[in-house]
Parts: sequence; structure tokens; C-alpha cells
Amino acid sequence: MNAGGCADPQGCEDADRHLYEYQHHELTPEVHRRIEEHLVVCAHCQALYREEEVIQRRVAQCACESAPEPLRARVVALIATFRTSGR
Amino acid sequence: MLLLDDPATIVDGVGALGSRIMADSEADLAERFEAEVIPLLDTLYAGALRMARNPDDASDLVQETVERAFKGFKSFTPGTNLRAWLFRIMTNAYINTYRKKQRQPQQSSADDVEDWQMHKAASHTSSGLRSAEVEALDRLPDSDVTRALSSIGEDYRLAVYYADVEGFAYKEIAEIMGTPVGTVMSRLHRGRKQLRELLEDYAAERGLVPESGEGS
Repeated sequence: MNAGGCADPQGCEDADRHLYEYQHHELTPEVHRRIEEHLVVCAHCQALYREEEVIQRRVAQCACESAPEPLRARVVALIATFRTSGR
Repeated sequence: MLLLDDPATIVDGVGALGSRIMADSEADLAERFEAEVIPLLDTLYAGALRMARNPDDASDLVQETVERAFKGFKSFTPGTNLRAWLFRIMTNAYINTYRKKQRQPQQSSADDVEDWQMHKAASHTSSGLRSAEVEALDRLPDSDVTRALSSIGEDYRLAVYYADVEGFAYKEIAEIMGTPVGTVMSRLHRGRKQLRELLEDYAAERGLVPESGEGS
């Protein structure tokens, strides 16, 4: 924290502590805005946040496997039994 | 009761009419279920892979989830988040059935540590080096990202998956995982921190980042 000699060390502390909640839009509007403003002025926290943004994007992109065709067929057949059997 | 004016319906008699309405509503339910669940199959499978970590078990887990979901579908409130509801069923199915079968070592989760403090250690790197790392992370092959995600502890992996891939709110994740919101936050902190460390390691192994140790 505050490795770059930032003029707003409390901002560094908050950004560090709430970085993921900030990223996931889970903070109150006031805290969110405070961190947003800090990220504009602090190159260090900004760089850290950019890295976390890349990680989130990469994770979201890598986890998009399609259901294999045999599974799809099994599920469709299974639902067909729900329809006819009346359970 | 909708068709009382129709003479043919009255002639059918109450018993036949009753059973026909039952059959119709059952078929309607199955039809609605199919229309809403089939489009989510890829999503469910990708999620199941994060739990079971091999295609066969993931497929079985999806099938079991679909079976359980249909049994409970009458109690599902239309218009609420079906994806979150299905993932809650899947998480329970996984915990009750598959986790017992799988003998892969699981990392235990100590959820009570103030994780943001551990975050600080990595923050000492200079911002110049950090932007080089951002580029390096962007250049890693997808297989490295998948590998990193599957290497972190299960509870962390699922929290990260639900937040970063599925985009669920912390409150929804808490319901899906059956934990307090604070635990979700803690798992996310630890999971994402571990993920970053792994990805930085991979990037260094591939020679994508400048030598570290020269940071501030």
C-alpha cells in the first residue's frame, strides 16, 4: 500500500481493502465514489486495479465450455419423461 | 372450471376432466421447464466443471441437477432468478453426492482471516512493473487461466466463479453457497488473491514479465 508515496494514504488503504467489492459493485454509493476518485489520482492503486480487471475478464472468458452433445441429448430425453409420465 | 359452458366438457364427467387437467398442467410444467432450462445448459455445464473438474462427473451433476430442479419446479417463483436457483440446487447436489465420491484432496478453507491484509504484500510492486504484468496476464493462454482456476481451493473457486463468471450479487452467492455474505467476501478475497499469484507465476515461468525484485 502507498508504495508510490501517494498523497492520499487513507484512499490507498480503502482501495486496497475494498478492491473486489468495488469491482463487483457491492459498495454503498459513497464508498464506491470515494474509491473511484482515489483511483483517478493514485497511479499505484490504478495499476493494481487494472490488473484485477484483466484477471476478472480472463476468468470470465475461460469458463465458457459448451455442454457436450450426449449430455444435451440425455437432458432432453429426461425432460420428455417428465412430460409423459406425470411422475 | 374454465370450460363449464362447453357441453362436451360437462358430458366428460368430473373424474375424466380432473385427470385431464392434471395431465395438462404436468405437461405444461414440463414444457415451461424445458423452455427455460435448456438454454441454460451450457452455463450449468460450465459451472458443474468448476465443481466436478472432469467432464463425466460434470455431466452427471448437470443431469442430477435437472432431475432435482424439475421436482422442485412448482415451488420456483417465475420471474425470480432461475439461474441462481439452479446453481443452488447444483451446489447442494454436488456437496451431498459428488464431493463424497471424489477423493481429490480439498484445500480446507479458513474463512476468518482478514484477507485484505494479505493483499498488501503484493501491493508493494511498483506501478511500472505492474503495468508490465497487466500486459503479461493478457497474453497468457486460456489454458493457464483454466488451470489456475481449477487449482485454487474449492470454496474459493466457486465464489470466484459465481461472482466473476456468472456475475451474481454477493447476497445471491451467499444463498447459493449457504453461507453468510461475510464468508462470501472472504472467499472472494482469498480466491482472487490466490488466482493472481498463480497467474503471475505462470506469466513469469513463460518469461512474459520482467525480472521481479527490482520493485520499490
